[in-house]
Formats: sequence, C-alpha cells, structure tokens
Amino acid sequence: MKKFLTKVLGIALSAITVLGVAACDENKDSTGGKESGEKNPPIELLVWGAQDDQFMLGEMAAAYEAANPDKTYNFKFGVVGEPDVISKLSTDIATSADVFSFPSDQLRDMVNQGMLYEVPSNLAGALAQANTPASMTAVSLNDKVYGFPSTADNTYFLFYDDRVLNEQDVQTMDGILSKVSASQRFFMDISNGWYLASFFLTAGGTMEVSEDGKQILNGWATDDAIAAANVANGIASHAGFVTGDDEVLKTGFSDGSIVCGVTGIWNKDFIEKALDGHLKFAKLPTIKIGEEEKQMISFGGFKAIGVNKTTKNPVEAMKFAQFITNYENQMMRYEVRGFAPTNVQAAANEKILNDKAIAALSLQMQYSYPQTNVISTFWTPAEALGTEMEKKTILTLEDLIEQVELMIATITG
Amino acid sequence: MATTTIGVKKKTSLFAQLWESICKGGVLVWLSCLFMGLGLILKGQVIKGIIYLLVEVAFVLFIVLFAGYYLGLLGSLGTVAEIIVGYEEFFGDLIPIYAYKHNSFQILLFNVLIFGVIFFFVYLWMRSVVDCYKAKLRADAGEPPISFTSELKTYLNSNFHVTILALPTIGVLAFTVFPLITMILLAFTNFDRAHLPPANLFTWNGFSIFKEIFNFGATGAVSISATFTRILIWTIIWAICATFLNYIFGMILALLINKKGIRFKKMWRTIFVTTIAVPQFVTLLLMSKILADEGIVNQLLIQWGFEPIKFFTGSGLTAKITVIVINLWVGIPYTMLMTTGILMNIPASLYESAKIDGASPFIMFVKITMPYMLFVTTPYLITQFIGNLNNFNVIYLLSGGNPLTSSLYYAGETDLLITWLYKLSLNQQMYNLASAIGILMFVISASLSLITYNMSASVKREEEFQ
Repeated sequence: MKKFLTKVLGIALSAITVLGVAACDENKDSTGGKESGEKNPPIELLVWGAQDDQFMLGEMAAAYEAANPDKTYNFKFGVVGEPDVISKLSTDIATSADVFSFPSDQLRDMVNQGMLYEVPSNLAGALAQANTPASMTAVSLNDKVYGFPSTADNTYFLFYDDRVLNEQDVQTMDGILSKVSASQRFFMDISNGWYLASFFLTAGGTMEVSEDGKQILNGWATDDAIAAANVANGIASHAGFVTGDDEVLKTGFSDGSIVCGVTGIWNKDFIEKALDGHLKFAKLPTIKIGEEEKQMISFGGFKAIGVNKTTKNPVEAMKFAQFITNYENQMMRYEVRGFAPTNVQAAANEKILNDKAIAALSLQMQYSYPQTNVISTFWTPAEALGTEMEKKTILTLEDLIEQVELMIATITG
Repeated sequence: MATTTIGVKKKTSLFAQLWESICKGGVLVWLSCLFMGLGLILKGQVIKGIIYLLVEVAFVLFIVLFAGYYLGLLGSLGTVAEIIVGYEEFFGDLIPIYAYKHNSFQILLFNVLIFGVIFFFVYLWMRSVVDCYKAKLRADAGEPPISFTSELKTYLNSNFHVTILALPTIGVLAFTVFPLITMILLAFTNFDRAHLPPANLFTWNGFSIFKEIFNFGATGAVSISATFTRILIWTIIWAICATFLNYIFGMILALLINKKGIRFKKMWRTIFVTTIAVPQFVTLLLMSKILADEGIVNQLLIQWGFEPIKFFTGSGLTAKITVIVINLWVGIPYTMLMTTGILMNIPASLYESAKIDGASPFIMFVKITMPYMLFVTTPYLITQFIGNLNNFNVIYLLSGGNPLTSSLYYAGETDLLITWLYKLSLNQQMYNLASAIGILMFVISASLSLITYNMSASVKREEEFQ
C-alpha cells in the first residue's frame, strides 16, 4: 500500500511540474462591452492603448456608442503601450487589436511588415483637411496614408530658468553656452541618436530608406555636417555641459545645477514644479555652421491611431479611429493627458494657444524633421558617436570625421 | 530483469529486434508492418492490437489533414503572405478584408513539431512489429497471450519509470527541445530585418550567415567578423577574470576569517553573507546608478576636487575593469561561504605534520590547501566559468554593454557574446545572425567544459582522494 501511494504521489508530482510550466497563460485586460439583446450581432472591436489612456479610451468608446445608437458594439480594451505595439503585432497579428495607438516613427516598419490598413483615399482627404500637414506627412508613406494622427507630442525643445537666461540668450547656442557654468549647466542627451541627429539635420542632412530597406543618409559627411558635428563636439566638452537620462535632468533642475535643458513635454510637470514659476520654454536655439547661424532642427514625432490590416471589420475600425482623433477627442487628450493636438481646429483653440509649453512645442514642430524615414539601424551607431563625443578628451577634427564616417557606414551598411 | 522466456532478448536494441522480427516473422509480421497491430489481434492480444491500429489511422489522418500542408511548404517556408478574403463597402468604394496565409516562422515551428510526431510514430511502429513477432512466438509455443490488464500493470511495476517520466518528458520536449530546434534552424534562414512576418516571408539560406561571421578578410567599416572576434576575446577574458579572481579572493577571505586568533569569526562571516541577502539584480542596478556619470561617486569626487570618472561612458578599459571589480563584490561572498565549509574539512593533522617538518604557511597553502580545494571544486569552477561566459545579468544590468563604440557592429566595449546576441535579436531583428552566434556560443562552452572536465583531477583520480 505504501509503495502504491509513493507511486501515485510520483505521478501527481510529475503532472504538477508539467502543468506548472503549461500554466503561463497570457493575461488579457478586458472589460466587457454591452450585452446586446438585438438580432444584429454586436460589432467586436479590440482596442489597445497605453496604461494611462485606458480610462480616456473607455470614455471615448462610450461616447462613440452614444453617437451610433443604431448599432451595437462590443468594445474590448488591452493595455499595450505605443512602443510595444509593433512587437505585439508581429507575434500574432490575427489575434491583435483592431484599433491601436502607435508612434509615427514606427510607421515604416509597420507598413513593411504589413500591419497597418491603408486609409482609403476619400477618408484620407478628410483627414488631411482636419489635421496639420506635418502630422499627415508623419502618417504617410509613398503618398499613402496609414494612420489617424492623434497627438503631436514627440519632439524636443528648450526648457530654461528665467533667473539665469533671458529670451535673448536662448536664441543661439553660443548665447546659452556663454551663460552656463560648471555649477549652472546646460543639459542635452547628445549620446542619444534622437537628439544627436539634430546637428546633422540642421546642416542639411536628410534621411531616406532605399528600395531594399536600408538607411540612406544624404549630406551627413559634408563640410557643413562635420562643422555641425563639431558644434556638438564642442558642446560636449564645455565645462557647463551635462548629459544623461531624464533622471539626471530632473534632479539637476530640482537642485539648481541645471538651468537649461533640451527635453520634451513629458518632463514639463515635474520641472515646472521644481522651478516654481521660473520655467520658460523656447524653440531650439540656432547653431553656428561656418559663418551662418542656423535654426536647429529636431526630430518630430506624432502618435497616431492605426487599424490592423487583418481586422474583420475594417469599416467600423476606421470609423472608430476617425472618431477618437476628431476635434472633441483631441481636446480631451489635451485636457486629460496634456498632449498637443494635430487637429487644426483644436490647435487654434484658446486653451491651447495660451499654453506656453505647447506653443514652444508647436513652434519647434515647424522646424522638425519627420521620423518616418528612420529605421532601427540608426540608433545604436548614432549613440556610439555621441558617446565618443562625451568622453572627456575632445575629439580632434580628423578623429571626428573618421567617427562620423564609421557611423554612416554602420548605419547604411 | 527480463522475465520473458520466449522471444527476443530484452537487452538487444529495438533496431536489432525489428530486424530479427522482419527476418524470422513470416507473412503475418510482414502484414503487420503495413497494418499495425494486425498480428496482435489475430494472436489474441486484441485490445493492444486495436490501439496500434487506431494510432496508425490517427497518424494517417494527421498527415493527410494537417501535416501534409506544412510539410509541402518546408522547402520554401511559404510562398504567399497576404491574401484578400472579402470586401466591405465604405463611402461607395469597396475596401478589401485582408488575411495572411503563410507565415514562415509558423511553418518552421509546425514542421519541427510534425517531425517530432513522425519520429514518435516510427518508434511506435517498430514496437508494434516487434510485439507482433513476440505474440506470434508465444502462440507458436502454445503459451496464452499476454492480457491487456497485465500489460497495463507493468506500468506500475517494471515499467514504472515510463509512467512517471512521460509527463515531464512531454513538457521538456514541448517547452524546451522543440523551440530550441526551431531557433537553431533559424541560423540557416534569412530571417532578418528585411524578412519580418507577417507581410514578408523568409526562406532557407544555407551557411551564408556563418560565412559572414568567419569572413575575417572582410573589408569595409565595421564587419561582423571583426566584432565577433573582439567580443569573443573580451568574453573569454571576462570569464577568466570573473571566475578565478572571485575564487582566489573568496578563498583568501575565507582563510583570513578561519585563521586562528581572528576574533568574532561568526560576525565577519555574517557581514559578508548579508550581501547575498540582497538580490543580485538589485545590487547591480544600484551600482550602475551609483557609478553613473551624475551618480553619487562622481558627485563626491567633484566635491572633493577630483575629476569625475566616466565609468561606463568613457574608455573601454575603465568600463571593463569596473564590471570585473563590481562582479567581485557580488561574487566573493558566495565563494567565501562555499570554501569555508571545504577548508574546515581539511584534516588538521596534515597541517600539524607539515609544521613539524618546518613548512612555511605559503608552502602549506600551495601543497595542502590548494590541491585539496582544486580537487573538490574543479567541477564548480567549470560551471562558474561557463556561467560567466554567458553572464547576461551582470553586464546587461551594470553597464548595458556600454560604452558604445563606432568600431563595433551594434555592440559596446563591455558587451559579451550573449548581450550582443540579445541586442542583435531584440533591437536589430537579426534573428538569423543571433541564432548563429548562439550556436557558436554553445559549441565553445560545450567543448571547453568537456575538455576541462575530463582533464580535471576530480575525474581522473576520483577514487584516490578520500
């Protein structure tokens, strides 16, 4: 009997081991929609959004249901942040969301991987009427529209302390550098391709993607480009310069060791509190290339709503996507999350015009370069170049040229 | 022990049994080769025979209804990706509803699973033929057929290992072996950034990615082969330093604490062991914050009037030394704890007699302590060494492979092969290259550990040192 028990126990244990492994089931956050008693089957739509957007999305869906009383909907929501959408979609597109929010810089990859439903031309025309040209460029590829622009939040501009710098100083990079010192510093994350690219773009560099999917960098090694890179090199070795991540920036603004920084709208609330009324915003300064002062160009990114290419209900999905990016809902995004609108009517709204940070962001957006033509090979080599610049010893011009050429070779190779 | 008096000897392999069955079995066994279990049914073992027959029917259905489709696609890994399955009306236009037909990755994965099923079926088929032959021999000798219940009972007695290991084996196959085979196969495809599903298909590409890794004559700016060599060298240097420095310092620490005349031995030990109580990743993340450019160490240095040190963003050498030193901090207490036990085990009489012979402490260490320690811990050292070759945590959490440099292909100065592989697959989507590097890493660590293990004293003189 004892022997038998041991055996039963053995079998049970081995079963548990296997079941334990098999139990890793994916959790899907979802809230049930309305149960319909009508004859028409409800329209099923799975919507993905960031964690912080979930409540807002629920409200929007409820408003959409109220606006379309003749149909029944069964909305489901999943928490998938914008940066993760592409990897989630590539895992299994057939069971992924019908409607999702994605960053415009991933548009090309998503189109190449066949994830985005092309917006039909008549609807695309309506979108172009409603949204800013820059945002439409960001959701277009080869003259086709693949997304519904929702916010213009992803660029960087200048944050500064008006006790140390004035409006005149922040017009030029030299003006900023003349006011900062080892105890009151200027922040820019030069060892990050997103920021470093500014210098090359300002010098007239452009980015394209070749037919076979490789990055093309035009004008990144011209005399102007090298001069601009040398400006970055000079900034990096300036005594009043500091680099790092958002934590460094926030701490620096809090303890007064940073008085001016290049960052984005996502840090606004924190720094505003830290500076207690002394925070001012401006577009990026100009930098001196040769003898000429040139306005710095930033990468401009948008968030857009996309429709899954394999959705069973393309019409309903696109109508919903259009609805949640219309004027009212872009205003709601601004009020709930503080995101700048892409809708022309919303951009002209008084609330938004009076928002100083959004105003600076919108101004910089005019000097922004769409990120649609950047592919993933770009970031690491650009970060490597920035790291070389930030090393303690300043790069000689010959070294700099060599480094830039290496970077271009790796990115385009 | 084999209890069957009649039939094939149990010890011979299944292949030999099969060969004997087919040679000596006659018509009935030959027919059973086509219709599994036929011989068993005719010779009285009806239930078992029917089960074999059902297995055959199920297998044929599986191949025809499911597997055939995927097996047919194995050569190409898919030909058609996007298809249109219908249309909907939208503002007067018809817009298509899309779906994806072939997914290369799915085809590859299913084929691996199908081959698993086929191999299992072939095994069952061989068993069935041998069983038929045995049943025939029993019948010829006039013995009664083995009843199904008595056969089932063997799975609780002589065949109990089969019962208890069936589920874990299936689990290991499904969650480890099959995915592993699929990942290995990826190295022989062109699954990279330009061939990402679902819209794109990838296909077989032979050894071309390996050629690229070993193409040492490569010209151009930054080659994969040059990066591979540099990272491999650093990986080996790292593994040697991380393993042996930890080992030596840990042992010295243990010796120090063990030394006669040291007071509060338990307190010292406890202090060092507390570092183990903090999870390793917490220590590593904390250290990386502390040593950051704007971290607490540099702040202090600036306050005291020194130049700040760029630990992970400056020169490669600084970063490499930093990760090795911090790894000491993480690893020494473990070695100390382990070696303390072994050191206490060395017979004190050995030391006493050495002392009488006039040996110095250094000689005693070299002649008594070290050989004893090495004998006991060589297998531990080998696992440590291999573990350090693949030490993802320390590098990824501490330096992230930084400082990046333009002279390496998507890698930083402190990247090990394993973290480079991670970056290549997760950030650059070069799955084929990553898989090839993974295979090479396995070859390196497997051969290194086999050679060193077989050369170690622990294996050669296993009986001696008791």
